[in-house]
Amino acid sequence: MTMATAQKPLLRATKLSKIYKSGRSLLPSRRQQVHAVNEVSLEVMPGETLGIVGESGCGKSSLGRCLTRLQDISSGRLEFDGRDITDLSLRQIRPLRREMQMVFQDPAASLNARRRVGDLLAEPFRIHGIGARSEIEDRVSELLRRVGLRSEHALRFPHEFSGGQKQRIGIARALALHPKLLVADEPVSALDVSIQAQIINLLAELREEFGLTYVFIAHDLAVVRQISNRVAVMYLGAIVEVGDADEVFSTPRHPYTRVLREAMPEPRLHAKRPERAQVKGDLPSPFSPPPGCPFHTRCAFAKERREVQRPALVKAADGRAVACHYPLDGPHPTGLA
Amino acid sequence: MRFEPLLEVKDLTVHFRSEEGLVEAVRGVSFNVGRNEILGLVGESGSGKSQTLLAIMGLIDSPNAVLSGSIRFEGQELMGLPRRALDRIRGKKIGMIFQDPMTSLTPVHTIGAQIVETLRAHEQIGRKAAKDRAVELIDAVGIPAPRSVADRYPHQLSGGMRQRAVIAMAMSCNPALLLADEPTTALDVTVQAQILDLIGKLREDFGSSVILVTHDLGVVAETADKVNVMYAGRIVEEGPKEAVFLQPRHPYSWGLFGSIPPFDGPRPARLSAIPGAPPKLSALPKGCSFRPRCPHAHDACLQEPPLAGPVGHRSACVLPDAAIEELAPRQEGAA
Amino acid sequence: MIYALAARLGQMALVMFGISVVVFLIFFATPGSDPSARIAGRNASQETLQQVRHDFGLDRPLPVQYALMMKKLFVTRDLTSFVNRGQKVIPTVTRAIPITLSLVIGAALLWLIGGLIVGLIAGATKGSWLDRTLMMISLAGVSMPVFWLGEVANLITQSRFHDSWAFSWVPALGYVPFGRDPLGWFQALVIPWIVLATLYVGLYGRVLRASLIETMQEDFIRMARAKGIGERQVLLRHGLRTSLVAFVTMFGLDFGALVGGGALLTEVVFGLQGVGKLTYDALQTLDLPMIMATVIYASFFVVMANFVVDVVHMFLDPRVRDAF
Repeated sequence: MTMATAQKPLLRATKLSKIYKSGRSLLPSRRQQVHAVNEVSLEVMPGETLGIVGESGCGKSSLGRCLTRLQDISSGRLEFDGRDITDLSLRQIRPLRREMQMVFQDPAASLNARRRVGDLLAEPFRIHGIGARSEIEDRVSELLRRVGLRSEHALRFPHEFSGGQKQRIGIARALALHPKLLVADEPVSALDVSIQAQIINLLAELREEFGLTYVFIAHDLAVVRQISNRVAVMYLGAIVEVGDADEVFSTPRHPYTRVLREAMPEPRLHAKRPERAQVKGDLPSPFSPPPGCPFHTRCAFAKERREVQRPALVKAADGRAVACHYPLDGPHPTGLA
Repeated sequence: MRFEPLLEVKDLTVHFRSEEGLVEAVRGVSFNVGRNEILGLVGESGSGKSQTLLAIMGLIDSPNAVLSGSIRFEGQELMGLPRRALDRIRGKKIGMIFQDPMTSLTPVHTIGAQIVETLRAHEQIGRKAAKDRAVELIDAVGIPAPRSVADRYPHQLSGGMRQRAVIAMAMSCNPALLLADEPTTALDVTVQAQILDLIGKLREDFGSSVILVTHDLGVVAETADKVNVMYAGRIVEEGPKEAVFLQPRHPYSWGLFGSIPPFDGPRPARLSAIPGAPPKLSALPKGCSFRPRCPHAHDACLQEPPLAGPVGHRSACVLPDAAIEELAPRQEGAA
Repeated sequence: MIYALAARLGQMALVMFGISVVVFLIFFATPGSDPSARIAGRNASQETLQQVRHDFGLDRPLPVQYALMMKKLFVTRDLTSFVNRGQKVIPTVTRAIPITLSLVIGAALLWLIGGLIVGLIAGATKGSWLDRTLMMISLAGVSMPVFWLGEVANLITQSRFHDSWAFSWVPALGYVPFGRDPLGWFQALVIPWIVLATLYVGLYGRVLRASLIETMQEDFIRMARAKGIGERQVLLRHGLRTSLVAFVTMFGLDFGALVGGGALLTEVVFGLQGVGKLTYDALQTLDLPMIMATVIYASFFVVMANFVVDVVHMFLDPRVRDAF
């Protein structure tokens, strides 16, 4: 995939934050807030796939829902196709839904169980007032075929499908109106390995065919690497590293990326299992994130400076960016590659 | 020591009567687990791997379940053992850990109390001594501040810590065999790595054997000695880990390996996914149950193929050895 | 924990205040009617009305009226009924409390134990003939109206078979104070207890059974079995202990409501001069001061019971403890 350098990004987030408040206690000291997304800046070019990886609670799903404005943004700025959509109201955002869609982890939860698949797929057309009845029917069967199902499946109910097929329906619905951007939140993590591969392949084909732009959110590094051009690694609400999908995992610059990479069990044999770069302890509570670098409590390289100052995401000449005071350089020493 | 495997499962069958007909969850599964050995049981959902484990532990209590076959543990037949006799083995000689540490601990008792309960069920030990042992065990599985954790409730611990606590409980009576049902699936990768390291360490420290049920070939690659690949209630391939990973023999295993995106090196344009979906266990296809999804299926596959092949590495496929040699994907760069 | 308790107590006081205000407003500020006429009762003379207006400060602003009312209820406790000329309301209620408490506590013990046994046995033997029989019996118990069952019990023990050896010990309807004659107290109440408990045994048994069956499907039950502990211990220590939350919630609320006058039908049927009976009589004669007092008293018990439920919850479930 070639990307013209002069191209404008399809999606641009600037210092985007999402804060959840919890506890309705009368005492202010008992009220808590979580920076689910903490000043995240990113750009997604047209036709590109940006992968977002991180462990549970890192804020990747919140970020995904902010990027499609399924939830409100606490602060920062979000532009879609050159237009500021940060503060658009629900009504103003509706026409934009045609252009940005989401696919979720659990397709069953997002498909109304009492309606036939054909109805579910026709819904986007009806909502946006597109096409006559017969035309919609044609489009629905075309959609079903396109995602690898048969047109007679339109008459069935969601529960009659397997997990993989339900996810195909979810994708079909998201694609119905030919969106420009598709944000997929863990679209394959609930599926069996063999089905996972089918869905990844399908998403890749659809991207080529419709010139789609993806934001692909997952916890599985290999899956993210397979489908993404670039990858952003998140930790405690912040992006700690961004770069080319191959490079980020083969030569991680942020210690957390490396930990993540080495923790992933690989389905192949090693002459001798290399020592893993160990992380200390558990994820800190998002209610009281550590000051300075969010990773310093678990980082093997942490020095005093990390605790004092939060490192900024700095872009290097080769286009990779890392938020670390002491970035790792070169290939990592375990020799996995 | 007499030559005898620690666990010998023979022709294990687990069927469930249901409205849709007979659900054949496990169909004639046989395998052995030796002492100090880690067996990986790999398969996708519905492959029967978890039911196999539950059957060994005597935990299938559905009134609609029909079990047959033989499960011999240390020479003793477990199948059909009365509850009282079974309870002298469960928790004492066979420990078990489950997939979701969030739900496998009783929410209203402290971690310490739950470990003490296991200890006192199987050993003549006082309350105080049991509590001390519990603290030692919590310490041994790498939980910091074990004494205070013993007095905490499950919801006060993180997922990784809870799974460690569950492992401490399963290991409390120093069992000869540990059954682990997807022990890391519910955990984050960094925590998963810690738990896998811990399970490996248990084998060394306690000398236990382990049956590790998982859908994740990566987890098997890291921990197991032997691998059984299951599909639709049967073992379709079994062998030492090296053999199965370097020269997988069954087309289903090939498909599984091909379905996993590589971690490094060039990315394939398409993953060689397995087409279709696993069969319904209440309506299995005739003959080889992988036949409808297999690219190499032919007429001979209408007969159920037996497990066959070179000594120690067998597969349930009718393809001749030469064809298998030719078609099998190879792993590069690995030892 | 202490903070949580204090917060709860504060909330409780607030709720009580709210209830008293609402009750007050309903009686005194309903537009289009003269509260003095209602307080004075039916067919009151002009002088009485004047006196009522003066006593309750009905010619003064609402907050003052409220304060006066509360003073009469709680400080001077000299609120008098005009229907039963000169009857002091508060002492009457105070006299009725031990009767209601005797009735409800005794019945509660019975239905708790009964409900526990029924729920436990039915839950543990789910699907068996024993389970089905128990559920059928409890359904019958739930369906029988208390007043009907009470009358039937009275019919049997007071008239038809009163002279037989089985029921000759049953005293005439009414209450015997515990302090005067403990045995008589017990004999007078045992049949009302059984009648009142019958409904609740069925209800509690069914709720516990459902909750137990759900709990027994949980992963931690499988884990407990895998530990090799006996089924009885699995059932009691892990299953029942975790299922008790719903049971206790229900108990607290029912208990509060019954003490607060909900045992009305039982009290009427068995001629017990409890709070429920008092409310019942007051409603029939539209004795407003009495209604006012019993409603405030009832709300106090319901709120109190809620508080106790919360505290018990904290002990039963460590997750609740931490959520505060």
